[in-house]
Amino acid sequence: MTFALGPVPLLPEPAAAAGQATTASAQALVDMVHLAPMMIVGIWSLIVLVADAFARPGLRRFQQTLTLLGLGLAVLAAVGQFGHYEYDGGIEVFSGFLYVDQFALLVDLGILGVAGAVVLFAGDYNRSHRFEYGEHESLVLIATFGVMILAHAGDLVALFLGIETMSIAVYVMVGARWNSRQSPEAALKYFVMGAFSSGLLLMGIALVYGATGVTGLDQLSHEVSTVFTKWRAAQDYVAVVEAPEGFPAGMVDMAQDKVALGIAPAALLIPGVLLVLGALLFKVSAVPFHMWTPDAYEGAPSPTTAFMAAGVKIGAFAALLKLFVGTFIVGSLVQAPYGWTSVVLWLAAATMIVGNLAAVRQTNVKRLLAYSSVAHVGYLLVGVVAAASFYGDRPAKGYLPTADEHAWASNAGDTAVASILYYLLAYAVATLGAFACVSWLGRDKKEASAAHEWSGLAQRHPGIALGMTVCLLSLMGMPPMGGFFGKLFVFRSAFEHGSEALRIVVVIAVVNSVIGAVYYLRLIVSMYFRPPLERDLGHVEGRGAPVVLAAAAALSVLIGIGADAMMQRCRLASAGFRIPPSEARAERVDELRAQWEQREAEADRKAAQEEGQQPGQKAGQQPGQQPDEKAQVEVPAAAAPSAEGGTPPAEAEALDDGG
Amino acid sequence: MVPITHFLYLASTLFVIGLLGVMLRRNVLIVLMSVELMLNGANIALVAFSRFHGNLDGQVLAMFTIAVAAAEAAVGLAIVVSIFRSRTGSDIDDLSLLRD
Amino acid sequence: MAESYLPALMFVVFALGFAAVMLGLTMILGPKRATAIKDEPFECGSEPIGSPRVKFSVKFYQVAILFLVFDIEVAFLYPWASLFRELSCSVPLDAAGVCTGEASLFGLVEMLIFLAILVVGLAYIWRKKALDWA
Repeated sequence: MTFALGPVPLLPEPAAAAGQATTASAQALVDMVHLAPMMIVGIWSLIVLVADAFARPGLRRFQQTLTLLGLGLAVLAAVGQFGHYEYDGGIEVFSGFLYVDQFALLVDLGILGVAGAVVLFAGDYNRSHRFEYGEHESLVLIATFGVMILAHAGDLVALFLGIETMSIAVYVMVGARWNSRQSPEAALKYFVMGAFSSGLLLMGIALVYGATGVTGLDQLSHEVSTVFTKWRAAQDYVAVVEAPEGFPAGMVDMAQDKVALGIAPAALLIPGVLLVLGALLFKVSAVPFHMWTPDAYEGAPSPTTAFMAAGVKIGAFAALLKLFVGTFIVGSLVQAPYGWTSVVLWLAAATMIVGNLAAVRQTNVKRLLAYSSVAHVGYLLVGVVAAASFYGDRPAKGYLPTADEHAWASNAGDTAVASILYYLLAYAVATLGAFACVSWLGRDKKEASAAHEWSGLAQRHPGIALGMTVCLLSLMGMPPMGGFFGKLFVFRSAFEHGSEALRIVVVIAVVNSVIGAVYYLRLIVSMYFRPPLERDLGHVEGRGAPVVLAAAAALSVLIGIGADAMMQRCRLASAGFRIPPSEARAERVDELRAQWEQREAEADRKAAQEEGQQPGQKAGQQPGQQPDEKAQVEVPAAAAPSAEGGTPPAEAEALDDGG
Repeated sequence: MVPITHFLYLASTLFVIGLLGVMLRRNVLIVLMSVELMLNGANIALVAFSRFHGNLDGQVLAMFTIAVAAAEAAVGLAIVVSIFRSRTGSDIDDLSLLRD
Repeated sequence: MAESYLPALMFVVFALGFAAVMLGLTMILGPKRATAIKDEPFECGSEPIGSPRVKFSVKFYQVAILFLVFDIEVAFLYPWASLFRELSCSVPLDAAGVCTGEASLFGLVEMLIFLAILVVGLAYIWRKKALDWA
């Protein structure tokens, strides 16, 4: 495994080294060009750090602009790559240490958007609360870099490093507000829990490595199934070991060896997988590992809370999907009695119940949103279980599924992963808007985050209240907002799976969504129908937060209205999710594109018939034949504006409009 | 040659000591040390497995872990220092500004 | 197998022996005149004031933390150094460990990039006056 992460001047053309015998350095450069968005973010974090150290005081604006420039470049690179035919099958870079595939690129776009939004409103917030510090932008970039490593991870080592890079930067951001006693306390709580979960994660990885002898994800998915094959093969010898009478001594010895060798890997693998699962559940803050969440969210500066609620969740779910939906997909690991899905399913139910019931009791908006984010994790985990069940279920004994049934199951699994991605992006957008609003209210070291301080907000600041309402409605799951379609897609996927337990949990989830409406609506009602406070609490100077809030509200609606187009993007990202980067995955994507072409051609024909015209010419285009063509998957024209992946380009536009 | 089980006994002992330390001890510095014990227990397991399987992947991860643990300890200590500049003890139960 | 550790054993024996001999010689040859002043904890002429267990300035923490990070990062130099011959050859080494192909700067440049990142960190803490004692 060779790799070099760092600021190497990028080759202008990826093709420069093609054709020649690839030397190690040429290969490394080509790999870095494939990883352009990540590399730009990494280099930019260093540039911004140096700029902070060497800039004269009073250049904070410049630093913010510089950071946004870097993020913009990274977004451009990612937009150019996402959907490009070159990445259909996924590309392994740095000898399989990282993958570049559509999934990773979509997550990249999402996290870059989150980072851009946080950078936009954090500066104003920090200035207004008098703890401006120049490292903030750099830390955001480093955490973004960590999330991107997670999205691209092709190896357990990369996964561990990604989680740590992300977490360490966020610990610092949480504790950075030195003029508040709550901020370092929140940082310490978050740090202790985070470090503890890193320990669990590492031990889990060590055990998985011990059981299989590999760390690469695609070898791992293969080795994991051999572990269970060996285990089953050893079962025959167990009888000999248990009742050695009547067998020759030599055979008993041999049987003991066989049993030991066959059972040992499984005995390492199952605890290892559970430890890794526990660590990741910590990171996504699922019950019973959620206790740190409200404290850390409340004590952290609001822009950092926004990053934790949106960015860290995206990263942790990317890791969870990669590992548990993409890699450990063996019937024995997914299903009872040794599988994790049944446990996680009930944890998901507990997570949403606990999150929602605790949120109802909250009088602090930040804590309320923290518990609501816990509840959302519960809904998302239902989707994760559904996806894993589609991929990993074994047929009942004696039943041989047909090729069609196999294809159906893997398609359904891909759709479930796409639903999770859609939900994550819709949730991230809405929660960013909500926290932008929280950060905007209050000034001079005093945040206005108590719920009663929000009463009558609509009379003082109608625009802000409207934006916040849209974001809250999206979080609540009101059509036509993105949050509604996210819930719809995830629950539909879960319901499609035949298992009774999943269906019961879906019903619980729907009931929970209704409970959730209580506290979201209560806040909205108090904003609109209560008299405003006597004294003005003031707000943060600067346009950042209102712009982000407006963009988030607009995007929430757009994601909802353009749900089809957005879902198509997510389907593209998740096509062949379980298949490691290869030709086979590229074929899956091609199939998907062919289906879309066909459907669109039919739609065109129908429309043309209705208008009494000839069938349109669009159907003539063939995918895959023009490798240089940019990845614009054809989308209905009406939905096209919302189809930018739910991320920065649209926000950048909104910035121009708002500014 | 020392069999791998011995390494695993050591690794799991260290890991469990660290685990219990994080869960039971209330002094922040001891909690930090316990986290280090957990990471290093895992490290020993990684290196032992690496030798057992005859490939270097585990050792590579162990190297990274050492660096990550140092960075984590540095950040953790910095947070502790920033909290206890204004306080006297380092007891984790004294932190009660944030609660329901 | 065991013989290959012989040089290490010899080194340990020599190091321990050398230290023991030097300590023994000073004990035998050196003059011993114990006085009240010499028995004080600090033999610097000034009288000890207060308990040695005082709170240290937070500056010590800061320097210790910085040292910790930079010290550990150097650990990556060891695997790099032990692989440097392989990394600086464009083809795999032959059985005798000789490079048959062209020399390559790959390994060197990689480490320079790594060190450059460390230097960025150093420049940062330097400019932020984290290394100042005053």
